[in-house]
Amino acid sequence: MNAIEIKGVSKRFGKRSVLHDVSLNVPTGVVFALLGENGAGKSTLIRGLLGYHRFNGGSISVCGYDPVRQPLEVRRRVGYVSDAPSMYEWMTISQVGWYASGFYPDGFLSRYDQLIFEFQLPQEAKIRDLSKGMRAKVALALAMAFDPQLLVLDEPTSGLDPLVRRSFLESMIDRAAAGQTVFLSSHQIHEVERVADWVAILHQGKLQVVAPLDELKSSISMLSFSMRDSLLALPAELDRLERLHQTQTGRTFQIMARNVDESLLASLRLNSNLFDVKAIRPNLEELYIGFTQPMRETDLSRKESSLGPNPSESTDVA
Amino acid sequence: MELTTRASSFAWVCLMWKELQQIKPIFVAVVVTLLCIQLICGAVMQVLPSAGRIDSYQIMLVVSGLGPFLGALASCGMLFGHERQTGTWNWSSSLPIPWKQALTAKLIASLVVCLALLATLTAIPLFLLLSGPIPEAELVMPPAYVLFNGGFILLELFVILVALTLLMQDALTAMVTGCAILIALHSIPAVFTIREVMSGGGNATLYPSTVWNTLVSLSLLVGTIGMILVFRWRWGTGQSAQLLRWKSSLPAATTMATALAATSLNLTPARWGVAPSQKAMLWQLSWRNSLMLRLAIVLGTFALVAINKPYLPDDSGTALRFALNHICAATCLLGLTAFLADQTRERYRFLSDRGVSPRILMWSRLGPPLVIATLLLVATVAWYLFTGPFPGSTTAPNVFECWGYLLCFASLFLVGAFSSLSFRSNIVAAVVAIVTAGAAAVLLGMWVAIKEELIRISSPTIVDWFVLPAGFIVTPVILFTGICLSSPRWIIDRDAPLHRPYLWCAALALLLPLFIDATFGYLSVPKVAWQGATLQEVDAVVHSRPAIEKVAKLFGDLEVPQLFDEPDSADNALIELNEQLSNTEQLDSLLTGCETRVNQMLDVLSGPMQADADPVAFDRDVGRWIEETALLAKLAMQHGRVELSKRAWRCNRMLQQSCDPITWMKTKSSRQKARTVWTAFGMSEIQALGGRDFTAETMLPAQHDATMGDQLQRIAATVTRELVRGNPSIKEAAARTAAYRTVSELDPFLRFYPPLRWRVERGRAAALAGSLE
Repeated sequence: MNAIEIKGVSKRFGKRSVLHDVSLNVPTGVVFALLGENGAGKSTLIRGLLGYHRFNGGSISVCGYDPVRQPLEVRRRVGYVSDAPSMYEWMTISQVGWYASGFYPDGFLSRYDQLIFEFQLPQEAKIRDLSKGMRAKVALALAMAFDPQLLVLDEPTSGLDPLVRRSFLESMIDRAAAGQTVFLSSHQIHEVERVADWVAILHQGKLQVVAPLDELKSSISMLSFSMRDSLLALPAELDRLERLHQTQTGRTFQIMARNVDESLLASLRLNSNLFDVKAIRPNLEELYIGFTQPMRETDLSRKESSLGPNPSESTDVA
Repeated sequence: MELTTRASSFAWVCLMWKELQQIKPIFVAVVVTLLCIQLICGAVMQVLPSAGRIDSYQIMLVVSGLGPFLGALASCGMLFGHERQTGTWNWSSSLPIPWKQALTAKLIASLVVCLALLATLTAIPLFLLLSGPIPEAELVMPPAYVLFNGGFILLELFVILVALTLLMQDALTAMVTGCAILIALHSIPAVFTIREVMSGGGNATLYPSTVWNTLVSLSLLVGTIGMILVFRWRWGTGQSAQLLRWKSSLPAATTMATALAATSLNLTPARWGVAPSQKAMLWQLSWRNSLMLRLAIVLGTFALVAINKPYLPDDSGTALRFALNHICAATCLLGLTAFLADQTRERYRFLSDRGVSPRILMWSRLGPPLVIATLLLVATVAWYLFTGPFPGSTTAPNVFECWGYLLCFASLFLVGAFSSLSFRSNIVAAVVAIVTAGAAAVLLGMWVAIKEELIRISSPTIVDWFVLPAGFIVTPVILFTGICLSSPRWIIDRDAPLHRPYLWCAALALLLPLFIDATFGYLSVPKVAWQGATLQEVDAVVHSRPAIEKVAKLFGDLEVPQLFDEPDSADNALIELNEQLSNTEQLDSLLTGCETRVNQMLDVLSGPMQADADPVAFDRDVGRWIEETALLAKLAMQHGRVELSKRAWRCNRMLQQSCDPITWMKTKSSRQKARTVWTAFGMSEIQALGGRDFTAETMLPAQHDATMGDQLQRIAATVTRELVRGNPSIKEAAARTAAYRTVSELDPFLRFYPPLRWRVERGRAAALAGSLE
């Protein structure tokens, strides 16, 4: 059973459309990373997962429950940390835990105390006296203390110090290994890359890609080459590629594309106008940029038909 | 972990603990403030005469009744509005708490708070009632239906406020709107009823119970259903969801940077190519701060004024005063909007980072609401001026009353502004401002009690209306100073404990005017009218007392005092006196000598008083003369000497007329005897004397007694006051001799605190008057 099943959901606020026909499934026991620029619709999607609003179309299932109709069941199974967790400022750390323990199964408080100890937080400090990072730690402890089936984290590592961040991310891997699911959105792409099993990239409300990270990395290559005579057109073999992103710096091109195979590389290397032809596996950040800054047809055609730019200029095709 | 939830009782415990802890600080603040007011009322009761205590006690009861309403406001604000504005609503609603449980816990907490407030604030009045200082018979308790209606209105207020607070984005706007809706709901039917009655179409019932019952039932039902539905929706959708979305005039940004950028896009005259200055930008933003709330306040106030205008008589200043009271409340709320938006968005941090001067910021924030409040006031007054009977009305507020109102406006505006500056939470700031304004109103009532009961000034004079309210000018001065001193810390330090200076300033601003006026209010006493005459006149009477040593012995050779051993036995005295007369010629010579001596005595009475005069001997001699002349008149009439009798009565009258108040009182028994003698005259004898004309000429009018009694009291009070002040010039006077016998030395503390000294003076004056009487 998938922890999360989203089928064709859309969301509009007034006339502004925030999500367009988003569909994805999050398998159980994985760390699922949702990436996207500011305003891409990540928080809207996450809040929808918790039943905070109805979508304008499509269906959604979290841990087998409809979050709109059965929000309580969802919240009993989902640990949620928002991007700006606001707890009662007048409570102490231990009081927050005690208060929350009233609504969760037995064992919550001891686990919470253990997490607070691990995070090296003072039990009797009031929330109002905590720094942003310390508040984030308290929110994480509250969300993880009842060992939820699904952990939904909206920018969870924002404000955390490097040590805690590393520790926290490693604990996410352990959690996934134990059969629980972690659904997180973050801008810390390098860190996500270390822990995420699955990645989804949301751009302007549209889902660009959903795939296991390893599979995504293996299917996409970063092809780079230089041209001796930049006035000439690009080789015709490149038309076979599903190009995601392309940049040109002087006479050097970098193309992110699917279906880059050895035969293509061999063909390009035989082209006398090209030299220094190589293909590398992109990292997640490059993939993210590739998906969130897609090429437009007009740009492509203009570049391909151009006689070549001024060598002193560096032009981002997108 | 297995999904077996805990016992629901523990969840209830956690929820109730959280709700009660959430509201505890504001509950404590409300209780402490209202208890302090009650204790002040109690202290004033102790120094008031028994007749004035009941008013002070009624104020305590009003405060007790006010408690649950403030509790409802605080509960609504803290448990619903504050949770949303601080963002904890989202976290709470992300926990697996059923919405029914969450709502029930909040309702129970609100109920507990209201009941606790009621119980706490009823304790002192109940104790006073049971322990005896308050006579139960004099207590005017509201009828039972008023209490029931009050309870229903409390419920209505609560459900409407909760529903609107959950529905609208800004809790304070919601609460203001809710209050306006509630007042309008209950005012409109009354107005329609009055109009119907005035047009002759309805009965005389001002507010029919059927209308009331229907209105309350409907609004309670709709309000409760609305509250439940809105709570369920809000709990499920989070703190920032909106039912209706419209394009706001303000950008939806939550940071100052984007707000400034967006504002500059909207407002900057880019076509002129001139960037606005920092001051201009601050001013523009300040106008837009809490725009909806300010609009709601202004429109709500105008609506209330308009609704109530036909409700009140036009031919007096009552309607205008009523409207001004509305403006007072609106001014406080407008003051509250001064720093509100900066707190909500933490805009002050952005301003602080950009080095905005606290002084410029403070003025830019205070300016717009102050301008709006002034315009509101001017518009309302102008409306009444053009539509009312002013300025011809004699009951219109005079210039001194207007001065008092201006002080009220300034004070309430600054209370609102200072609380919005000192409390980061808008709801807390609003509740604190309301409580402070309420306390100010009660203390103002206390001042009236002190003025009328303790200092006993009851007539409007320039002193009463101008000098004494001048003490209240310290209130806005203190509050404004507090704002000036707090604004630099407010803008720089997010965690600065600004509530401390607020509490100090508010306490000082409320209590200092009372202290000042109570201390210096006695200065106005000699200048105000007191029982029909000024104290200067009374003093003049005291200083023109006759020289008693010049009084000659009357009837020097005649032993008559023994005749009056039995005072009421005028007949016996006459018989005995008659027996002493050998012939009627002796009567002639006796009366002639009597007239001569009376004339001499009257000359003495009109002269200056001697320091070594013996008042006791003087009063005794005058009394004896009054009796003697009356007896002589009767005796002469018995002997058929009509002219002689007339002369004797004229002497009697002149003596009585010439008496000063103390002598008048001391000769009370003699005058009674003279009256007894007069009643012994038969009708034929009176006719022989001249009938009604002679009676009218001879007998003193009935009000003479009252006038002399009043003068006596004033003299006694003046004498005692001078005595207490240690005035040596009057110390040796005769009346003071009597006063010395009745009063003891003062406590030194009383000498240095005029209100208490004045109270002791009055008490001793009354005691002296009583003893002399």
